[in-house]
Formats: sequence, C-alpha cells, structure tokens
Amino acid sequence: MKRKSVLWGLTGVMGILGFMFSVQVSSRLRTQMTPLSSYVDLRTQVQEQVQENQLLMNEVSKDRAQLAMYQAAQGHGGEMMAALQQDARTVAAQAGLTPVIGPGLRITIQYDPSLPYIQQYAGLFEATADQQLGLLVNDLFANGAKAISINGQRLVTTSSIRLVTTINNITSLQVNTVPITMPYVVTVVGDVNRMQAVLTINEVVAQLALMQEQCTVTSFTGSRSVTVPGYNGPLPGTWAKEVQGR
Amino acid sequence: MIWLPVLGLVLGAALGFITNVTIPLAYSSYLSIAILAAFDTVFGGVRASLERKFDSKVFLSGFFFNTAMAAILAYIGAQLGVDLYLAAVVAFGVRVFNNIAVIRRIWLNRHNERTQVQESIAPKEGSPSADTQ
Repeated sequence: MKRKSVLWGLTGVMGILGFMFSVQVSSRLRTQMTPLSSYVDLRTQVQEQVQENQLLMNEVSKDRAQLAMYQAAQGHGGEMMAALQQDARTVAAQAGLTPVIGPGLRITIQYDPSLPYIQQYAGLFEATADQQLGLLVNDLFANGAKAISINGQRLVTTSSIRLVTTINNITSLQVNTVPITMPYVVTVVGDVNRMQAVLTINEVVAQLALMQEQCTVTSFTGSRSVTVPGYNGPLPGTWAKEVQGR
Repeated sequence: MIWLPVLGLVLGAALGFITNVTIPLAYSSYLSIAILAAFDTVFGGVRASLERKFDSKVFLSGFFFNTAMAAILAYIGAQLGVDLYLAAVVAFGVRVFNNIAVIRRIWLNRHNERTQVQESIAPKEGSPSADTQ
C-alpha cells in the first residue's frame, strides 16, 4: 500500500515536472524565433524607420504647401476661371477651332474651256489637284497666311488634301476627308501684300491658265474682310478614353 | 511498476507541448529555477526511497514548497538586484549531484551484495555435494 502511494506520488510529481519542462522549452524556442535577435538588427530597423519617417515628413511638407496654394487661390476663383477661359480661347484659336475674320484673299479655281488648250498641260490639274492645292496653301502659309480654308474646310495641323479615286473610277478631291467639287475656293486671312507677292512670283494664275483652270484672286483689305470658318472635324484624342483607376 | 513515473513524465511533457502554453521571457528564469528545485526533490525522493526512509507527505510538500520558494526567491532577488537566482542554482545543483551520487552508491552496494549472495549460494566446482548429485 505504501509502495503504491509512493509510485502514484512520484508519477504525479514527474508529470508536473514534465509539464514545466516542456513549457520552458517551448517558451525558449519561441523567443529564439523572434526576428529581433540582436542589437544590430534593432539598430538597423530603427535607422530604416527614421529614414521612412523623414520621407513621410517631406511628403507632408509638400502636401501642406499644395494645400496652402489651394487655400490661397480659393478667394480668386473668378479670376482663375477667367484666366483659364482665356487660355482655352487662345488654345482653340491656335488650333483653328474658331473662325478668323480679317483682311485676306479669296482664290477661286475653276475649269474654263475657253482658255487656250495646250496638250502638254491639258488635264494636268485634275490629275494633280491635291499637289497643286498643297503647293498653293504651303506658299500662302509661308508668306503671311494666318488661316486658310478650302471650300469651307479649315486647314489645321491634322488636315489633309487628297485626290481620291473610288471603285467607280470617279476621282474627287477631299479636304479633311470631306469631298469637295469645283470651283475650289481658297479663303485666306493674313498679310495680303505678301500673299499676293508670292502668287505673282510663282505665276500661279498663269500656271493654272496653262492647265485651262481659271484662277481669280480677290483681295479684301480695309473695311472689307474675309471669314475663314473654324475647324469642325474630329480632333486628335476625340476617340480616346480616360484611363480609369491607377 | 517503475514505468509509471516515466509515463507520468512523458504525459506531462506531451501535455505541455500540446497545450502550447508559453511564458514571457522575463519569467523564464523563474521557471528554470523551479524546474531545478523539482529535480532536486525528485532525486531526493528516489534517494529516500532507496534508503527506505520515504515519506509521501514530505516528498509532495517538499516538491511544491521547494519549487514555489525557488521561484519566489529568484523573483525577490531580481527585484532587490541580488543574484539569488545563482545562489539557488548552486545550492540545488550541489544537492542534485549529491543525491545522484548517493543513489549510485546505494545501487552499487545492492548490486555487490546481490552478487555476493549469488556467489555464496551457487555450488562450488568439485564439492562433495556436487559429486553426489
């Protein structure tokens, strides 16, 4: 009986001892697995945190400056709006979206069978109308033209003058991809004298007459003025979509 | 029946690992000294048992009391700034090794006695009794 109690007592004590031992071992193992195992690691982490803190402080300073700018501009909303609208108008005018009125020329080109027939040049204009008009508008732009339109189609930086032949073998001239027919009316606003000078030097009227095309140049100066319409076709970026998210 | 305390030790250790109980690092040294005190008590109990002086009450009370007191003294030492922890380690370490030495001697003595008894009982070669059988 006494031996039995000894055994059970010893068993209980050994159980408690084993429990304490395993708790101690698992606690020490977990402590050793923690990432901060040395002073060096701790110091490195502190330095990283200091650098990050500095970067964040810089960001906060920038944001505060921007906030102050917005707050300062808050009272001048009307002025800012007017300035922005003025900028928008200027940009639109430079892009050719608004009509331009002023002194200029109107050049009309039309087939005239009464003009002398010269075999060498006959039919040349119809075959090279895009090149002929291209040369003409380039000369005008280079010599004082501010705005040009051909049959109401305003020439802007993305404009095109193309001679297009369809599958029915019908050739037509397209300006800004819009088909136009004779008479071709080139309306120009700008320095009238310079533009007339270049037309004279290049003998545009005479050259076209050789091709049986009557070219009439009318100048508008003083109280008379011409109107070049604004561009109303698609603009670059018209079909672009705003990127959503980041 | 000697396997029963061993089974208790294994069960206790398994329970500790399964329950995943942990203590903070700051209290780890107190548990260490408590374990050392428990070892001392266990070895003391084994020694007393071998010397046929074992008393369950003394054993169990000694186990709990020594364990608790060792941890408490280590804690007080830490609070006072005195290394009572080391003193307890030395004291219990000496006692553990002393008990182990005594246990070893007792086992050796018993083994020797048993051998002598077996030698004295065993019939000697060429003796008359052996010849008669």
